[in-house]
Amino acid sequence: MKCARYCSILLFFFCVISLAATTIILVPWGDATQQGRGRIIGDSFERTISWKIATEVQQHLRNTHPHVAVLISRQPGDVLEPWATAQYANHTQADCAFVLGCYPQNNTVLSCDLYMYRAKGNNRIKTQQPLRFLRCDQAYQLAGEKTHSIAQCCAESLRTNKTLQIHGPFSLPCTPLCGFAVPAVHCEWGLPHEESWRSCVMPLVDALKSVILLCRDR
Amino acid sequence: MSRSVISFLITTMLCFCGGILFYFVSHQYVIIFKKTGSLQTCIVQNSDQSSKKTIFLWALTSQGWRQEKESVIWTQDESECLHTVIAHFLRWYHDEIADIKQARLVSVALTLSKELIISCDRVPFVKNSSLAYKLFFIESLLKTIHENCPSPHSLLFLVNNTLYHDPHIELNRPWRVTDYSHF
Repeated sequence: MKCARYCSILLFFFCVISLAATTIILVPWGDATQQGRGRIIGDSFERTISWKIATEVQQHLRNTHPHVAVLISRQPGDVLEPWATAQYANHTQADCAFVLGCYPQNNTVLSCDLYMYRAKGNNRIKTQQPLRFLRCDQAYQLAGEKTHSIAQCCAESLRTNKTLQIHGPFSLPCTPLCGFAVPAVHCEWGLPHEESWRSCVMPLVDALKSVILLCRDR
Repeated sequence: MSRSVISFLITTMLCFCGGILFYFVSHQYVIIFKKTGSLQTCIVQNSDQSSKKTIFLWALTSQGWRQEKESVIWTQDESECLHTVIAHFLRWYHDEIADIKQARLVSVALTLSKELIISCDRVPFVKNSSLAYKLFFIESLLKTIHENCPSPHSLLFLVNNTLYHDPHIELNRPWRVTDYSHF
């Protein structure tokens, strides 16, 4: 009887530890020095809108998934060094990083474009040795398959929402994703009007929930 | 009339005619054609090397690939041909495909390692454009180059002969010419 109780307690702690191990980093585009695309909504720039989306998503996930660590890479006013976000994600060994961006569009439908990093040119890593220096544009290869499955999972979840237009995931040398050794996906939202950014939040939360399930299954 | 007078008159007439002829030539009333060997050789060489050719311009849109034919003068100089193709592509893309800025091609160079370096006087992208829009433009350019001139292996894009750092897409490294969507 005692043994069964200890086993159940151990099982509970194991579950808690394994659930808490999921870490997601939300990376709003830009910083105090880089404002991004200009005047998307009224006088707001891309950095402001993407930060608003990130904080809303973080709030929702904290309420529904308290065991998941959802981090935001910067606060308003922060100045980031080049590669600081990628280093932060790599050091924390996050399960996934989502770079959030947005742009104004004339189309009336809210759209989301998904991107993964892929270097151009023939610079594939031949062997996966434990200790070696990698160029920043080769780091993505350490999490290549995971990134692909997470991006696909995210795209499938977003496609269930019929009010959205989803493009991708595309592979390209995307500047904000350079240097990430953990799975990283760039979500770029096409915003048709002023309050559209609020409509991005719930589809993104649902997509992240499916990504959390995918990460937990691994 | 003595013989000396006749010879004087003939000399005078000759000088008068010579003077008139010189006046006409110097004022281009009369043009004297000179048959020069070098000019003829040059014309023969050009007629051998230049020809009319149909090139295909490609544009990737959200509906897929779009194609356009254009006739150009094709020469043996590969850099010149590439210059022609890219200039036609930039004009066509600006006029008919997407809202890009009118960029003028400053220079085109093909290195010995078959790396194509092109330089424009400005960035062709509109500031608020999406990443997909930039990707479509780059892939369209790559396919247009690859389909018309297969020899370049990679493409490096410069702005005013310096590397351009785009905040969204890495244009400071060369792109493989075959790296466009094959669908």
